[in-house]
Amino acid sequence: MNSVATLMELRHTMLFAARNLKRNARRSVVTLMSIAFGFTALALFAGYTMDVYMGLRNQAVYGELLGHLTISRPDMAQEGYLHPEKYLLDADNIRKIEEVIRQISPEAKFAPRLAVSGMISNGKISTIFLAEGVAPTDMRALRGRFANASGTLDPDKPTGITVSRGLASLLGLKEGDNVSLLGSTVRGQVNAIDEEIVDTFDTGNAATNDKMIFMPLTQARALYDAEGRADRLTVMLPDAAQTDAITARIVTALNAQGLQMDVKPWYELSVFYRQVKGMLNMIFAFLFTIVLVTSTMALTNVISMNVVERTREIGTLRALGMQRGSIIRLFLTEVVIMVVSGCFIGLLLTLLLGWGINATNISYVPPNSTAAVPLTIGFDPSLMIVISLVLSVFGALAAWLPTHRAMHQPIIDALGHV
Amino acid sequence: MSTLLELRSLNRTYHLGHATVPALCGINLDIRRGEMLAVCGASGSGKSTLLNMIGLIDRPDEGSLRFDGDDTSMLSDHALTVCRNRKIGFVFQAFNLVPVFSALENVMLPLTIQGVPEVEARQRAGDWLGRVGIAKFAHHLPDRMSGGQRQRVAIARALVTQPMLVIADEPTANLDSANSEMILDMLWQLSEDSHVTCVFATHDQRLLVRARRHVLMKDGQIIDDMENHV
Repeated sequence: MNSVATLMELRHTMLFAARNLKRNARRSVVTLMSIAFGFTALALFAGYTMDVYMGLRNQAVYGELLGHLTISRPDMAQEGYLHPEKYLLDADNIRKIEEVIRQISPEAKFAPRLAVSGMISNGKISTIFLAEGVAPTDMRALRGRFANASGTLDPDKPTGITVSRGLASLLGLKEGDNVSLLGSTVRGQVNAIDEEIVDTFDTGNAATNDKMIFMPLTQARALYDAEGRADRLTVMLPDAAQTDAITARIVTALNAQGLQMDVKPWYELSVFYRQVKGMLNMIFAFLFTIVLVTSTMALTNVISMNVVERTREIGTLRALGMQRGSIIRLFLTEVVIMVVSGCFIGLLLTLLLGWGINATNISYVPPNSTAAVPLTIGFDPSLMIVISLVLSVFGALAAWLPTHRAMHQPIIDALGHV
Repeated sequence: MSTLLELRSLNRTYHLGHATVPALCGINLDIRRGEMLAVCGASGSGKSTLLNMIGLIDRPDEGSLRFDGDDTSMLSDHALTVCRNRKIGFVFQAFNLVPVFSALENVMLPLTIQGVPEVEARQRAGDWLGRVGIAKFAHHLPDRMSGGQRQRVAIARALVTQPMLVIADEPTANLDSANSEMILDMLWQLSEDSHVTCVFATHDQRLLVRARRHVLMKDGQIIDDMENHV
């Protein structure tokens, strides 16, 4: 069959299918709307999760200062606390790693980090703290467009630290106050330093908001007695989409230099991001399954009824010389028209409801969070296309069975059908 | 006139639950090109089954049926479907028009199936609607037309492909006498004009008198085959 004939048959099939849908308008509209509402529910939820993932990503990359990549010695996270001497990077390691990164991604930002912990005291009472040591200029670079957010260290104050609001509240601290930090050095000796509070910030996480501190790297090294050393290096790439590709190249290049290092992307290190994403993906899959089953059943029901009602017509078409495949295509086209129209209406509803929800400024406090966050609905076109395609495929499968069965009924039985 | 259809020792049995119903028993029949043949007999005598066989919408259990020189038992379902589309026209008792298509589109349907370009199909279908006298109803849907008008659309649809054979199963059964007369005149005239072979099953005496040949059936067998001098 040449392309003109194929187009002609396609046009005829579309016309025929559209009129058949119009013939049972109420039935078609109910099915179409069930698809539209299902699509809307999925698209709104997908848009919501997309915004949540984006927020969590920003929180992990810029808020927790995970950057895009973290480079450390293998097993640092598991064994580093017990054997710090063995797992810390020295100045030579840091220089070599920096050279490798500069060769692979000259525009990448790079920051040595040192995590310390101990007791913080306001002179009257003490409590535990977890601190991240990072150079103030590096911190501003890592935070990128969020550089002026609360908690960023001040490069002009070499002993200035920022403390989480829960911790500040616990010790009654405010900007300008002095505190003492007590910790153990890398060799296990007790050490203490005095610091000045330059800002407070919210970690967004109830588990860390009463103990988190950012301090200049020099101060962390002084407390830990680890001059020139770091426990890991954070890398911020110019393009986040390159994270996986550059990770692989850095691993290869470091191995070539004889440096055995763990190079981990931010999403592997952010446990909270992974857990939330896993949970929301599971809910989405559950919702998708429900919508898919509901839509498929609705379509099966409609097509089965259409096939039964049009059995004599099928017999007539077969008698007039229409091939089985053409009639099956006709019913499949009816399903595709319903699914595509349903998804299109669903898209319009999604845009309308999404705009409405975003405009009402609804906010809520997520689990384990310290502050309310706005409920926003994003727009995820790729996922919407996937939803439409999956609904179309399942719709076509739903139509295929009753139609296929009808096609193999003898023509004389179909013609005699009442 | 050469032979269009050769039926030899044709048997067909239907199975209804545990019961077997012999519908055709040892049918031997030759139908010549251009012939107008009436199949008559009581209800259940096998008329419709014979027409279904001749129209290639049913297959015999035994025996052979040659259509236009081809042994139809050797043809695939696809080939039989193409053969029906190009060589056979059907006129059904209940008209069997597609309800979502206008009269014109219904007549165009066999041509569209054939892949005839739309402009040509529209032209030919329009011509045929004119020949059966309902050109002004071309854009009406079947449910806006009378029984006689619908049957005329069905006749136009059966003839638009210029088939070798037209099968009409009780074409006047659902029509009043005035419409029946008109349809009979039309079928007879079209058969005469276009030399198309026309086989119809009927109880209608008015239709019988117009056919040149009568085949009388009883219990699945041909009990009489006679020429009728119209």
